[in-house]
Amino acid sequence: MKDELRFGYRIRQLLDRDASQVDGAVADRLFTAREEALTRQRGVVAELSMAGGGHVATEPAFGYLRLILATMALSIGAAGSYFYWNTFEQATENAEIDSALLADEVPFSAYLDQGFIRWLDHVSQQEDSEQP
Amino acid sequence: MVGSRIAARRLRTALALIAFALIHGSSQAGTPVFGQPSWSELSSSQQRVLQPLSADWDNFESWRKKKWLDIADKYPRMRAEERERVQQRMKAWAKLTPEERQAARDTFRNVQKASSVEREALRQMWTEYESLPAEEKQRFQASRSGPRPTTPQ
Repeated sequence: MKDELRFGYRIRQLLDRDASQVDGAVADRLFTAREEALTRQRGVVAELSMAGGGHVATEPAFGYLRLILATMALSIGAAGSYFYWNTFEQATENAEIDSALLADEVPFSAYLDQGFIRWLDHVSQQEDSEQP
Repeated sequence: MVGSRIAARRLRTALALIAFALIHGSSQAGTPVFGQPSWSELSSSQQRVLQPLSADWDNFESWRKKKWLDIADKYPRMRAEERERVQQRMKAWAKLTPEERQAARDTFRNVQKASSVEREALRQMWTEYESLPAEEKQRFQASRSGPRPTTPQ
């Protein structure tokens, strides 16, 4: 491993030294060759992308499906949370009224006793008829 | 294509924000939304107040437990006679149907809007009605329009 590193270092030194010694015409040819190589590489990458067109086209479709599923899941979650929250809000409100109702002097049975309501009607009719 | 991707990204961000708001909102309010204690998990003071409900407690839905726990919180601030009434009535109240409870609440709300004189009159009328013989009350309960013929004028 140590020898490999040393060898790599020496090669780099040699290349650096040789590159600094390259004359103008050779440097120009090297530059042109490099440019051509890069252009060819870009072409290959573009062709590969087109060849994988099916993959490129299906990826957004999966993305949208995921998004739709996420939206549905969140909507269901939001509806569930709203229902629960609403019910608990209702429970808090009922605690207020129920504690007052249960503690009141008039028992809650008075409000549910149809006989009492009819008797009240009856008494008030009696009082009306007794008035001159 | 680019426009729709940006729209999708915006939608995704909005969804994330809504999800955050939901989670954050429910945690901030401090009310446990899911799960309420079983009877054995109640504190001794809660058990003392809610004793009449002990047999049915574990079958109550979460929101009913929450309501009774809120009532138990208010209980120490009530007057002695109010506390006694609450404990006497809570079992029968819990046995009513949701529709009956709602009907009683609605009537009670209306009565609360009346003047104190009218409320006192109602209390006296109820006492008077309660003192009627059982068969007399039954006649009023059974009748649809009021038993005028059988009642002394």
